[in-house]
Parts: sequence; structure tokens; C-alpha cells
Amino acid sequence: MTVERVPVGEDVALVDLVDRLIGGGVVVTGDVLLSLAGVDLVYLGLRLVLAPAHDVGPVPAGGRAGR
Amino acid sequence: MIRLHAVVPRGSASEDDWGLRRHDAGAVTVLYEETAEPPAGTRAAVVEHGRRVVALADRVPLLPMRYGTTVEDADELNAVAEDHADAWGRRLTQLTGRCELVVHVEVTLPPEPVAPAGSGRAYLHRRMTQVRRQDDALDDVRTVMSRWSEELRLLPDGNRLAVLVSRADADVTRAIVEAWGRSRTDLEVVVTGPWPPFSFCEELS
Repeated sequence: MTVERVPVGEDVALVDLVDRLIGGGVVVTGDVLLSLAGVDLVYLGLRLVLAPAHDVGPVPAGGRAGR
Repeated sequence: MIRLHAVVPRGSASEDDWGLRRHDAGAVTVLYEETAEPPAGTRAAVVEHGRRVVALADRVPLLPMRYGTTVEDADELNAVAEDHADAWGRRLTQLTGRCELVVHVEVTLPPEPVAPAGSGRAYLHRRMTQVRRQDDALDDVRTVMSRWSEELRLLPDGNRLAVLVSRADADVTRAIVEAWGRSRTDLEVVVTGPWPPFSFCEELS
């Protein structure tokens, strides 16, 4: 697993923006036409902020969520 | 294919807003665009979209649609808008003048070991301690923000709180929470926003 630590600040804000855009907002059931495989930001907490999704792999049960 | 972007109060969006088309339904307007391709699933595309949503939310109260939301054609857009217009209108009224802050909270002190490392008992104890400390830290943030928070959601990762605050108080609230975070040597606290109310878009019955 490759994890890249990045400085806290603007990068965290970017992660929040992407996370909330694809995890929040108005939901109209069944009409989200988007594969998120290409969205390569995964939130792992402040100590492991950003990592390419394909390097992180599945989130362990009870672990931090990624998108 | 029609891609939906946001719901705004009827009459509040202009021709210049993002170059989007407008569909009126009840007291709201749905901002949308016709497109031949589904929304791109790249970070750059999502971020670009997000920046436009944030800029629009600075001028107009809005409910952002979840990124990637589409309907097939004008008939489906009309049906969706008619079905949801009342609920969207009520929620928009409640969210007008409000914005969202996201507060990251992480405990930085390691738990104290009580059993030899590697044992199942030690692991369970460490895990329970971590969970308890994290819960306590989140409760502390709720208390610190109680004066300003109108609604609050724990995000799915368990480390972030989405907090709905008055847009006028957002900067002050953020500064106070950040200062409080710096005073806590056992926590790492980071605040982002103000954002549109991404986490508060559920419809009210």
C-alpha cells in the first residue's frame, strides 16, 4: 500500500470538496450515472491524507472510509 | 441526457449563472445542462465542478445535486422536479443564509498498553480506548460549536463533523474552533469550508 502524506490545509479542503460532492448533495434515487473509479482521492484521516485509490485497496472493516 | 447541478429559489438564478439552463417547478428552479456524455469521473472534473458550485453558492442559496446526477430527458426532469419541488423549497428556505463547515478531529495520543503487544486482549483494549477517545473528542467539538451550529452530521468515516452554521458567522466560528484545536495537545483539528450545505440536503417531510 502506497500512501502519500501531504500538508494539512488546502489539500484537506480539496478532499472534503470532492468527498462532499460525491457523497453529499441532493439525491434522486437511482440516477447517479458515474463511475467513481477515476476519482483518485481517498480520505484516510489527517495523518494519511491522500492516496491514489488503486494503491490503497479495500478499506478494512471498521476502518476509515474512502470513496 | 440531462445533467442536474443545483436547486435554487425560483427567480434567483440569472442567465450568467454558470451558463446553465433553468427549469422552474413550484418555488424552485433546477439548474441543468444537456450533455451527450455522462459526467467525468476524474478528480479534476469533480474539483472543477465543485469550484463552480462553491462560487454560485456565494451568491445564491442552493441545494447542490450529488455529482453525477442525470435524468434521461425533459420529461423525466419535469417529473423529478414536480415530485420534489415542495420538499426542496422547504429545505432551501431553512438553508438560506447558512453554510457548511467540516471539522476533522483526530486523537493524537497513543493509548497506553495494558497487556503484551500482539495479544488479542491488548488489541481490543487499544481499539476500545481509541474509539472512546475519538467519541469524547467529537463530543468536545459539538460542545465548542454548540453556540453556532444549527445542525450537525457525523460523516461516515467517523472523524469528521459537518456543521451547519450561519454564513455570517462562518469565519468567526472557524477561527474559534481552530484556536480551540490548537489548545488541545491531544487532538489534531482541521476545519474546512465554508461549503455549500452538501451534507444537509435531505428533504423534509
